Amino acid sequence: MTENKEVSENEITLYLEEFSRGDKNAFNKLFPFVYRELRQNAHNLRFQFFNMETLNTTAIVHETYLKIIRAGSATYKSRAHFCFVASKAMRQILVNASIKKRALRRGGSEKRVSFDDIHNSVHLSDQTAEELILVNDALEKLENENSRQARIVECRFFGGMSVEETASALDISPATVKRSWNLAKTWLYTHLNSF
Amino acid sequence: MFIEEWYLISLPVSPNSPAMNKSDEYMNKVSILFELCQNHSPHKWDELLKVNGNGNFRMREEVKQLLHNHKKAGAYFNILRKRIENEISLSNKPPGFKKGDRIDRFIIKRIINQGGMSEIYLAKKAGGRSEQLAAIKIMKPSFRNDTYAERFRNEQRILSSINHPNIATLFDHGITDNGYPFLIMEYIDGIPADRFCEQNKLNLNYRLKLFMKVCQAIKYAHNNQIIHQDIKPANILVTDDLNVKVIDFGISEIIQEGVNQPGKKSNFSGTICYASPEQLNGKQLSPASDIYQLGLLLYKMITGKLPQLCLYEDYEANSSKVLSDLSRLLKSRYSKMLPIMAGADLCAIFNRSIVPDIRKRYNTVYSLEADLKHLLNYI
Repeated sequence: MTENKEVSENEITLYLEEFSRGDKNAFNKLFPFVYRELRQNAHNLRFQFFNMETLNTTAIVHETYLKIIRAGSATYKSRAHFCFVASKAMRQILVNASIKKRALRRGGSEKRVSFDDIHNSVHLSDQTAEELILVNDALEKLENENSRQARIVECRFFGGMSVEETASALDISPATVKRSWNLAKTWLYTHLNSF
Repeated sequence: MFIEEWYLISLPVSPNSPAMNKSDEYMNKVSILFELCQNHSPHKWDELLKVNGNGNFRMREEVKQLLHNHKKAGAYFNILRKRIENEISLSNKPPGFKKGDRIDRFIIKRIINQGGMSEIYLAKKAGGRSEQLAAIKIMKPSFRNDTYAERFRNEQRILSSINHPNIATLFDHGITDNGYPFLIMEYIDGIPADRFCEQNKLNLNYRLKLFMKVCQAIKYAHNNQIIHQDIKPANILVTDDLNVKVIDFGISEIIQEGVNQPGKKSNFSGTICYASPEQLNGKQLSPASDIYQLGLLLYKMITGKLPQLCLYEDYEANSSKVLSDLSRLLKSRYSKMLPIMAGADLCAIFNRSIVPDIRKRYNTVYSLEADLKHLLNYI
């Protein structure tokens, strides 16, 4: 993992281009790096947004992008691909936090959370954590049924990407994104309740 | 730890691969039907599904269910998203706990103090037979958080390392469900030392005895290599049974013995009017800084005021004026029972506590205490 710390902006841009051409390896190189950066940023930003009402995942994704790709050399297209990777990472960050929360709760209330945990990750309430786990389970099912729809959910729901960004990242029309998102969230909701 | 589990999820490949699943065709049909119906009013759905459903009963039922859930689904994801945003941001909203909220094993009764950096709540232990009270200090999030969180953690670290009857005890610490760090401390039903003295019109003897208790707490802290750094009346609480408790070790520091760090300057964040010259000048701090603050506290506790002139640079020039003010104040307040020498001795003690030149100041709380004890013997 340590070598990922050395990933330069140029490499990231290169990986993003390779990834947009369909290179699976490039994705595997990008993901851990983006995951770590996002998580770090989610923590840092939480405290910088003191003037704003809330910090949303869209902001975390975009701020992280700006932090990594400083030169602005990347195209709109590769930015969309970055957001795609980041949405997936964001899903994982939230789901991991939920699983951790559940483990902690089941471990009993006596279990101590140390101060250092405030630096670690995002904090979710019990209810949100449980619901996120259910949504994630349903999303895994949707992945088997129709993986494109699952990706749209990741982009729209977890990454907070716009219809246009999602369309660009997935190489489909904005109309398709709208339609699929519409159906996918209804499908997920229906399956949440039928578990 | 959750650092590298990302690989546990099954990752789909590139966004551009065809990615056709086995049931894609089925889903496509569901999607077309779903959309078709959405463009029409609900009472036409059954007919539309019958005509276009290819005789597939299961598909028709599924689409019908989706259509019924559509609105609720939109609302559900909007709410969930909003909630996630609220929970991950915390922004700078104060924690805002309400009566009845639970933190750890305690239930909030009311807010005691709404400070810039933290909120302090009065809470009682849940389910306890006798009513056990505690003060819960909750850190507010803020930008520049790192110094801030460090300060909070510092207080926790320091308090858990000390144990003294005149220092508020730390019971526990942790993080609330929504991510606010907290300290659970002994609740002190007291009022600031200066106000306590005035309200109860205490005589000089009592005032000095209360002050001596503060000295004991600070002496203990110094013996444990801790400088309080923010000694002022608000941080000294006195209870009805004349018990004294020193609170707020938030900016305290552990003295690293034998380590001289010329580059490290104190980053003063306490109260300006009680700041020592070293603190204001950003110099390295020693226990002498606390002694300076004790001197001002003593003045406030016995006169009800702060000295008017305390310009550090000019102290030498103004000291006679400062001391004659004190002498006059003491006479007007306690003339009846104050022996002639006591006023002069108190002035000398005060002077040796606050003189800007550290070399001329008391070098330990112990020596300040010794002078006071001597004075108490004859008043």
